[in-house]
Amino acid sequence: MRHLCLWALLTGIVTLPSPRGILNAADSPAPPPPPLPRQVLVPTAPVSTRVPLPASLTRAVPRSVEELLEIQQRVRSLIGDLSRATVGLRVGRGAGSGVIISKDGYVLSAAHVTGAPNRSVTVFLPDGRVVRGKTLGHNRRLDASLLKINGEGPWPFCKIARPKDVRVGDWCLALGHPGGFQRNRPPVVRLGRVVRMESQFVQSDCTLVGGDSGGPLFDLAGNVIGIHSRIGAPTEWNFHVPVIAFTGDWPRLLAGESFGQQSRKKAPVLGINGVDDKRGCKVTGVAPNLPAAKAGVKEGDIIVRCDGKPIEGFGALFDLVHEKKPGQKIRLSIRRLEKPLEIVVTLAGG
Amino acid sequence: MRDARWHQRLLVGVLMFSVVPAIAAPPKRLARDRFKNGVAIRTVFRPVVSGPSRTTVCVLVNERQKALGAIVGAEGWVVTKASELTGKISCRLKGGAVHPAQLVSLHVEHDLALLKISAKNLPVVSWKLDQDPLVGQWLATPGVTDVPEAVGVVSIRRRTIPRQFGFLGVGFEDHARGARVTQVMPDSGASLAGLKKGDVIIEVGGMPVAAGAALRDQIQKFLPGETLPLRVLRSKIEFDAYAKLGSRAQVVPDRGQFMNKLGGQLSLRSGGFPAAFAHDTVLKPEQCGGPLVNLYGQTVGINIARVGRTETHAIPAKVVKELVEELKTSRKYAAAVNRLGPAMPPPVPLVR
Repeated sequence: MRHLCLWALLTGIVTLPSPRGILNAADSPAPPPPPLPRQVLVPTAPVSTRVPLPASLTRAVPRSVEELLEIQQRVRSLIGDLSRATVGLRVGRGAGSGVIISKDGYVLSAAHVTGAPNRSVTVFLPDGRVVRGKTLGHNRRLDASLLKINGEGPWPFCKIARPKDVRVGDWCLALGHPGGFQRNRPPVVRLGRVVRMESQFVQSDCTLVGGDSGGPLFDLAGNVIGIHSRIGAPTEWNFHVPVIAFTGDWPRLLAGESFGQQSRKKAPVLGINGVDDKRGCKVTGVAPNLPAAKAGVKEGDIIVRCDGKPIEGFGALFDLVHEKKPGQKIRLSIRRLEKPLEIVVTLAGG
Repeated sequence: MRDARWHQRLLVGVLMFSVVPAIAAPPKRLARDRFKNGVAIRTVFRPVVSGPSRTTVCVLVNERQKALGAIVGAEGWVVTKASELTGKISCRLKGGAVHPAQLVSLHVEHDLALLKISAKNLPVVSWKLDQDPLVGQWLATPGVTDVPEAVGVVSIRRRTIPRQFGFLGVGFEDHARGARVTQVMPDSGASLAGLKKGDVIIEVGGMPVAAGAALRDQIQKFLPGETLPLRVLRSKIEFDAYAKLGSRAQVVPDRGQFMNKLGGQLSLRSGGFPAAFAHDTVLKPEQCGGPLVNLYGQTVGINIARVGRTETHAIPAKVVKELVEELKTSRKYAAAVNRLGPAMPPPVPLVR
């Protein structure tokens, strides 16, 4: 199950829909929701009110080392509270992270960590307490899930940001338990920025890895702005569930509903890992049985052009591949031991 | 540094690409130069590394960058990461001067080596000794240019990193004279040392090998990055071979490790450090070994290993400072330089 979770995260990289697909999905008008009966009290997510931040924390580029110091001071003052609310989770044999968002013990996590509703969960608090909980509803499409710790608390918690307060360029903190919860290791802290926002995800350059799934992304007001979901090969490809996935469907999540289909759309897969190189992109790993390996791409190859276009680093190659569809061919111009070589790869879907 | 200049050009190019669509549509993406490690953000750190970059060296092994190093003594003492140093060593200073370097001593557990270069009156790192950096504090990794190589924050406070075992990459069975090789894994230390199926390993590190199990025990006494001296029998010819040990995870693929390698190579030696704190700076293995500074330009530690997608390990300044004095004088550490193997390994016979 642990492996399954890791695998889910790994395949999540390749099942990421192409940017064009996302835009289309966002454009199509959604049917209006059915009216709710009046007498039912609709619970709402514990959303924070807007907190104005000092200009030094919101500038596109900090103006001076003093402003970097202000960011540092803000981060330092937040970390204690944020860490206390960031928990490790064990569901069956799978492991992940989560964040407590209310005094009575509601926890946000990722659907691929918690699985089906109504399962028993072990929750590891950073202060050493180990408590039980139960999974509530989840949204498979957006990878959002809600659970509840047994017992009234009070539990340490952080609030959820208003979805419209999250902006590209915001400084953000990722906390979680990479590699799984470890006793005597507090939640691991990473700092980055929100680098992209779409209707289905928030992308940051806070590096994540297996075990972080379900953990929180915070803004510098200390509010949750995303839940760690999946990664891609470049270190700046870290994807988070947007908070609107929780605030927008709060009653259904509370009611323990299982909804949203995992995207069936397959993304193109090349199957290499690489780093930026002076001439393009250096291949540092070739995944076995994937298209690149089958076509004969080797570790150490330097990819200089893709379909005749010079490529500027690994991220650029990644973007070019993601403009294609599974089954399409790409021509890679390679330097192997300084000798030029052309390899045609048929992309797989994953 | 040519690499860095190229990198800046690339980033400027990418910036131009990303600015054009931003005018047409609401900003859904951040320009790459404004990412945490983008040029615009790293440029804000210029005043932070203006001093430290003069106390940093680029460590070249056989003319290729294998590590960064920190100048710890004005008479040419340099501390760096040990396990990358097999070969002819030289150091390039800020400004471009290259000095041949002598490997003086090394500490196996900390994976730190002391080098001596023939230069005088060098600027020396200013250590921050009273306190480890706190979780969430900014850190910059200076190179030998005006802008840091990369920046990040402290992720995990100081702890002991569990021991990692060396991995030779052979399958073997018992043989009358030692252990007979039944399999050599591609890209492993054994394969690079020229070992072949059918070879009999008769000595490891000068100790005779009684049986296969003894070979495994011997190998596990060494750490990844160390060189294992082997006495090998091939078709009645005995010869010496030197195999640089790797780690199991780097030769045998598994999913967790695959994820950790997403986004770049990891250091060969990544565990067994007596004390290290972790930070989220994305470095290449060859950018480890040099100083790590806080916003005041004080050296808070030495980057020692890139260990995963989310983590780089650094040895705290106080530990390094105290070790440097011992490395300068102790014979024990001077003898340990042999554990990196010869710069020019002897040829392996071509017989089968």
